[in-house]
Amino acid sequence: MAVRLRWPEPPPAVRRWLPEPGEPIAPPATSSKLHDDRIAARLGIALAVTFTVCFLTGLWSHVQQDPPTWLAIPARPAGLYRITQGVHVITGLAAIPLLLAKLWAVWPRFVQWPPFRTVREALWRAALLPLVGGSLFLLGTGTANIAGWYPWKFDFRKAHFAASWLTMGGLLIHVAAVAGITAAALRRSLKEDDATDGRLSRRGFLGVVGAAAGVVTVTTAGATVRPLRALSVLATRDPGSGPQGVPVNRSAADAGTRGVDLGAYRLRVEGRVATPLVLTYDEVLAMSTRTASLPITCVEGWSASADWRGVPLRDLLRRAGAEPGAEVVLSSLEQRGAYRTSKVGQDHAADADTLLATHLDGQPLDPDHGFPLRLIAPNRPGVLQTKWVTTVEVR
Amino acid sequence: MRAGTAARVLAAVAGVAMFAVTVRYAVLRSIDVRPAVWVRWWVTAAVVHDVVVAPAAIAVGWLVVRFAPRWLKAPLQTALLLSAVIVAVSWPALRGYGRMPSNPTYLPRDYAGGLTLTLAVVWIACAGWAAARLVRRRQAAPLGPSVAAAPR
Repeated sequence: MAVRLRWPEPPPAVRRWLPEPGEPIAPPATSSKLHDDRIAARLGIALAVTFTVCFLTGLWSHVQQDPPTWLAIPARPAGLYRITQGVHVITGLAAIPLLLAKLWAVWPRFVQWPPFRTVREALWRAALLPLVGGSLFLLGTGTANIAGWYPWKFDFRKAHFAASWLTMGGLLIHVAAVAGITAAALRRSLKEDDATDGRLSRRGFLGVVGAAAGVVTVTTAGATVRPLRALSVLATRDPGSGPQGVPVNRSAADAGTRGVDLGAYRLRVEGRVATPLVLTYDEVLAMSTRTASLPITCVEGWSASADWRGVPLRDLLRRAGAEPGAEVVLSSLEQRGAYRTSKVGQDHAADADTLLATHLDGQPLDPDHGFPLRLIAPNRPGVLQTKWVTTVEVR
Repeated sequence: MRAGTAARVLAAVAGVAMFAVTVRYAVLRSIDVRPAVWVRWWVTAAVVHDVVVAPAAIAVGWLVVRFAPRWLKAPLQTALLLSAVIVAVSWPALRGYGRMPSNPTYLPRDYAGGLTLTLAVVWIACAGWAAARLVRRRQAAPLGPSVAAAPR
């Protein structure tokens, strides 16, 4: 740790523009008092909290879609995924001004000379590339994803997941490197030596960054927080729009499932069952139904509640004589697509509100909502609420 | 102090372990993650931000504090900061990048209108704040109206 590295001295004309590496941050030639450790420390803590919230809610979303064998996803509380995924997207969007302000505040360190003098400083700086690059990647790809924009050649979900581990790893190393500076910066008053000459003070700057996070939240959170709907003029989705007043992620036209021929349509229950079933649409309608008020929650953060009516999956399984506790895989009429099939875990398969729905708010399903039959289950990401269901396979 | 050092070493080791998880996942799922493309995206993001975006923001801020009159500086800094963030967040929607003719529930709103409205609220609020500062300055001016008329 005591090793001190020697660096060549740049020419004086260049040198006078480059800040010293010391602590606190040396302001650049602009001499703004906002490039300051006290601001960096406070924004850093806010970012550590928001990124941790996003990481945990993101992990939760990830395991729902790629469940590890040791984890049984619970079906209750029904609205849990709606909350965790709403928090994930709202927090991520609110973190954008925090991240940009933090990077702006510490930017003089990017051009400081020498770049590092000790092993600790070298490690600190080396971890910045994954931390900064990963943070920008996560917030940038997330913002594009909620708008349905994919200008890249990787799988969004898996690349976003990989970047989250990269970023949080970088964050832990960063926290280890700057814990001392941060603690010292938090002890110093924001007001000290803060003559503004009409400019934003440090507290004013932090207030404006907070206001920016607030404006971003109010103008977008209505995608899932219904009371904010009228104010969320920049939300990429609107919970009241779409066929039957519910948004759609994959339309019947895109899935190639428009105009299903009901004469030829059959619902099959097969696999490890005592009596395989082959039911027409009318036979499904004739079964005893149940109505459940459940949210449809997209991984992209929007959600909308509706009353769904249909046959409980567990009734079908019982009628076919499936063993209790069986695992079920649903398949769609859709020929292609990453979410053509979905696995229904034990807890969901046993829940009374896990329905193969035929009706939405009293009307037959719109083709975009999965006519003739779709899965709707409590606490489950929308991409796994399989539409146009034709096969129930018991494993 | 000892406990603090141990905690920091532990955090750094955990950070390195998370890098290992990242590499393992990216390799195992390389068909989906496309590691070479993925690395290029986040390295490019960091470089473009640090070399272009941050210096540009610092340059604009410098121009504001250098040339704007005293009463206008903070309101103008505020309006510019808020505007930059709002435009950045709404950019994909504004440009309609994810719009799908087959699915009108993506980007269902009028984003040019929404952005104009949001920016109008920000700039009107900041203009009001600047006007209040100007008025206060004039009222506080110790000399006659001829001097107070030139606020700087």
